Amino acid sequence: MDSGFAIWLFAVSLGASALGGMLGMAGGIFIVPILAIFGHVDIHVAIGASIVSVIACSCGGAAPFLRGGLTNIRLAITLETATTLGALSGVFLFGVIPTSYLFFLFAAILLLSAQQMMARRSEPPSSPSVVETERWADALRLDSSYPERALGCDVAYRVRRLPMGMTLMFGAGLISALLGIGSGVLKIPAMDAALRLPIKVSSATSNFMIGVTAAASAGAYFMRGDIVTSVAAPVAIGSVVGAVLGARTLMRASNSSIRLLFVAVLVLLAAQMLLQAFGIHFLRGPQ
Amino acid sequence: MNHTIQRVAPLEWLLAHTLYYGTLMASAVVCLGLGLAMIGARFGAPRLAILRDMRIATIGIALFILLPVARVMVMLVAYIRQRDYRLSAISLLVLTVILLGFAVGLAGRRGKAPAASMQVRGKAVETVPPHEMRTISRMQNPVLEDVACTFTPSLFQATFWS
Repeated sequence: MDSGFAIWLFAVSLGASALGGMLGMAGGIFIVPILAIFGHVDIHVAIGASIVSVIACSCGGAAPFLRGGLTNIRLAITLETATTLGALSGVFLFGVIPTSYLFFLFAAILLLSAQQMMARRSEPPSSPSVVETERWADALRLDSSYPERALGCDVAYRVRRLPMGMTLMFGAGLISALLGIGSGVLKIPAMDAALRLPIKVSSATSNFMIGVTAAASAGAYFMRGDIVTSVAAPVAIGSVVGAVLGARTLMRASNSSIRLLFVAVLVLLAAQMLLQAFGIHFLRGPQ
Repeated sequence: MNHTIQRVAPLEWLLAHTLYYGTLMASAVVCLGLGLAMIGARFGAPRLAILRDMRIATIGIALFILLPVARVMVMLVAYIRQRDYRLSAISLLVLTVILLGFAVGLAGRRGKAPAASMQVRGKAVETVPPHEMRTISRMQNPVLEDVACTFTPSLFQATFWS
């Protein structure tokens, strides 16, 4: 057990998770590239450590959303059938896929996140005129309401296009297991474009689902022996502390200069991951 | 279950508490394990003590992974009690898939060649079968200590046996 390295891991995860939390995203997307590029940790070990921290952040941050009545738990458990099946498929692919492909895929997800961060999320348009004859959401009673503080009353919403949402969620679970991230990048389009949920509800429900999705793959990696405790433990603790600190400073999330800085960091990490995918190493951290 | 009396529905309230206190407990165990391991590394404690300390951190990590499983179990029981059989079936399916993940991992570990090489901090390291773990001296290869924690299930069992 190298104490210095453990402290470095703790600090990096704390920073990544706090910065991620400020913009309402998980820190995993920063943790894996930083560990792989600067920490010279094998990418499989970095992913194993990150998936544990993803669970920790999801479970640690769920309580306020649940108490606030924002989380739609019926919808969450329904969509989790798709995300956990996706995660299980990811587990099978994880050992088979060449490492360079993982770097490449990670770079693509980083760029997709950067693009999403540039395009602000807007409240999905509700289309009450569309009448769906056979609705899964009705059979499972998924429609719900949430308290809107600005209006001082409960706002009812309907869950639309569940099969399309489930399909996208399968992909999100797969990417989550493969790359050790919460994969909010793929969950957000699923929630916005397919299910047409209000932003507050989709953020809370997505956060709630991430833990169970990650548990399906983390359980497999843990049993298989892919999770190295001396790396995963400092990362998990750092992420929890960082997520708590990040949530406190959430009010600055709309600040466009921070947003721009994040896009720059994401693009830089994506470029480095791409280079790594082709076996080129430019940046070298302290060893 | 009566949803109209309380502002927060009872199931949501129960889940919030489960997840909040579960995270606290798992974090505390990981912190304890890490702290002991760091103290052990600093003052040069015997090798077995260090291994046991990392076992505590490993148990903490296992607790983190089991926390969402517990959450699904709570939902399953709640939906059965509410006689909401559709949601009960869905919860059971999610639980099955997660447990299948554990089984797949366990099977993968057995099938895996014990000498598969991996990297810890840029150094290529040979992994060692768990039963040989105790016989290898820390002096021979200090990096092995990191790898020792890789074989978590066997160490996990060992903790309960000892």
